[in-house]
Amino acid sequence: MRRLAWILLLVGSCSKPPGSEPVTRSFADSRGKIVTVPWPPRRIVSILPSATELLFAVGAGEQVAGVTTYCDWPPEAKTKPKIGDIVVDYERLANLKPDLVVTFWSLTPKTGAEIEGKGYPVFSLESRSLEDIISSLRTVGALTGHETQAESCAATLVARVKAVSREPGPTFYFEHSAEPLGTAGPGTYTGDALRRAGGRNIFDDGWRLIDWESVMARDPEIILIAHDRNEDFEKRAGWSKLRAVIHKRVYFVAKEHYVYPTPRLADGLEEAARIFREKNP
Amino acid sequence: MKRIPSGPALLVLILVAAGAVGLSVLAGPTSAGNLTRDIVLQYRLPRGILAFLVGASLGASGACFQGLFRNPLADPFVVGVSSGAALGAVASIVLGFETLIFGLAPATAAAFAGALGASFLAYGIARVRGRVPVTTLLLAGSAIGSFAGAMVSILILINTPRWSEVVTWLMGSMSHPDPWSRVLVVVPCLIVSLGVMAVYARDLNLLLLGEESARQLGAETERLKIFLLGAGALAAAGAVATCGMIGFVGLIVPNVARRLVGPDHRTLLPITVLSGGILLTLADVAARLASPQFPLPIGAVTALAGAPFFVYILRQRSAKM
Repeated sequence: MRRLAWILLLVGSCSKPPGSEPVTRSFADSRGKIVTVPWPPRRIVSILPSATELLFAVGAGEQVAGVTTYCDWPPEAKTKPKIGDIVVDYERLANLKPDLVVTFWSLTPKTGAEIEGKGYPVFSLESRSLEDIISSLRTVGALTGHETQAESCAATLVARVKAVSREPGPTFYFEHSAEPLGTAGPGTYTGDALRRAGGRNIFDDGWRLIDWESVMARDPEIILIAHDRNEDFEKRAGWSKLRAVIHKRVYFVAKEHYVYPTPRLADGLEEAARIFREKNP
Repeated sequence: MKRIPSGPALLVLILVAAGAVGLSVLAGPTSAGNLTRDIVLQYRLPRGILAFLVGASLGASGACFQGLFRNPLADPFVVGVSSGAALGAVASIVLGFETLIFGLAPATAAAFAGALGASFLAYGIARVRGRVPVTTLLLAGSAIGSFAGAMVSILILINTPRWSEVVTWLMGSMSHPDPWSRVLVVVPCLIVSLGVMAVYARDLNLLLLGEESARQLGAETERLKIFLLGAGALAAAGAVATCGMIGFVGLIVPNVARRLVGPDHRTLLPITVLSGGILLTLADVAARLASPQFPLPIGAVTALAGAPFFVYILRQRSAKM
C-alpha cells in the first residue's frame, strides 16, 4: 500500500513540467490582512450566501467547491457540495481540500478564525455601502482570475446606481425583521441603497433593533416591509393613524432584493426609487 | 422576621403597582417633546400593563407551584411548562408556520399549546393508580423539560434562517408593536387561574402540613392537584406565550412575599400577584432607562437580578439545615 502511494506520488511529480510550481498571489482583504492564495484558486469554499453570490456573479462559479445550505442564489449554487449551515462541518470542509475560503469576517469571526487555524487561507469581503459592493466585485474578480467579467458586472451596477440616484425625498421606515423589530440605518449597504434611491431614513446608525414607539413618533411617509411574516399589522399600536397607512404608502417588498450585499441590491434600489418617486394617491 | 399586616400591605402594593405602570408610561426612546397621545395610550400604557400582568402571572404561578410541591425552589417552569412552550414556539418559527390561530401569531398559539401540553403530559406520566405523588410529578416535569429542551436544540440546528426570532423568544421580550392585543391574551388566563387559586387557597394551606394531614383535614388532594397544576400552568402559559421566557420572577417573588407576610396563601397569593407585576414592570422601566435606543431582552434583565437571589435562598436554606 505504501509502495503504491510512493509510485503515485512519483508519477504525480513527474507529470508536472519543471518550474510549474503553482503560482501564488497575495491580496489584501477587508480586514486589511494580506492573504496569499494559489492562483487562480480552483477549490473555493464559501461559508456565507452573499460571498457565494459574489463568486458566481464574477463568473467564478466553476471554481466553487463548497457552499452552505443557505446558499440558494444563484440557483446553480444549490448544486454545490454543502459544508454545513451556520455551523461548519470541518470534516466535510477538509474533504473538499479548499485552496481558499471566502466569508464576511464580521459575520463569522469565530468560524473564520477556526478555519484559518486549520491552515486554510480565509479571505474576507465586507460591505457597508454600494461602493463597497462594487469594489468587492472587482476584488473577487482579481482574486479568482475573472477580472473582465467582474469589471463588466461592476460597471453595470455603477450604471444602475447612477441611473436612479436622486436627492432625498420622502421619509421612510424599512423593516427587515418583525420579531424583533429590525431596521437598516444609513450606515448599511441597504440604507445606502435606500438613500440613493431618494428616501430619507427615519433611523440613523447601522443594522439595529428598534422599539415600535420610535416608528410612531417619527411617523414616516413611506413604510417598506421586507419580511414575509404573517402578521395582522392592524394590531400594531397606532397603525391606522400612521401617515404611510393613511396615504396607502405601505409596501411589501422582497427581502432578497434589499438585505444582501450583492448585485441583487440594485433590484431593490430601482424598486425603492420607483416607490419614493410616486406621489401620494 | 416580623410579619407585615396584610391589609395595609395590599393597599400599599396596589398604589405602588399603579405607580409602576405610571412610571412605565414615562420611560422610552421618544423624548417628552415628541410624545403623542397615541404613543402613550396605544403603546406605553398597554406595555406597562402587559409587563404588570405577565409579572403577576409568573408570580401567581410560582406561588401556586411552590405551595403544591411544598418546595420553595419550584417556579412556573418546573412541570415542563417553559420547555414545552419553548418547543412549541421554536418549532412554529423554525418550521415556518404562518397561519394565524384564533388571531394569535403562530408562535404564541404554539407556545400556549406546548406549555399546557407539557404539564398535562407530566401529570399523565406521574399518575399511578389514580394518585399523583408530587415528587413524581416534579421529576416527570423535569424529564419532559430536558426532552423538550433537547428537541429545541435540534430544531434550531436543523434550520434557522429566523435565528433572531428564536433568540428573542428564548430571552423574553417586552418590546412588541401590538401590546394591547397581547394584554388580551394574558388577561383571561390570569383571571381563570387566579379564580382557581382563590378557591383552593385554604386547601393549599392544608397541603403545607403534608398530603396525608391535608387529606385527613378534608382536602380532596388528588382533585386539588389537577386544578392547581392546571391553574399554575395556565398562568405561566399566558405569560410565556406572549412575552417569551422570563425567568426568576416566579421564583423570587413568592419567596420574598412568604418571608414578609407568612405562608397563608389567602394573603400570600394576592401579595405575590401584585409584587410580581410590580417587579416586572419596574424591570422593564429599568431596562428602557438603561438602554433607551436598543431594546434589551427582559428575560436577561430579570435573570441578571434573579440569579444572585437564587443563590441567596439556597444559602439561607442550607444554613438552616
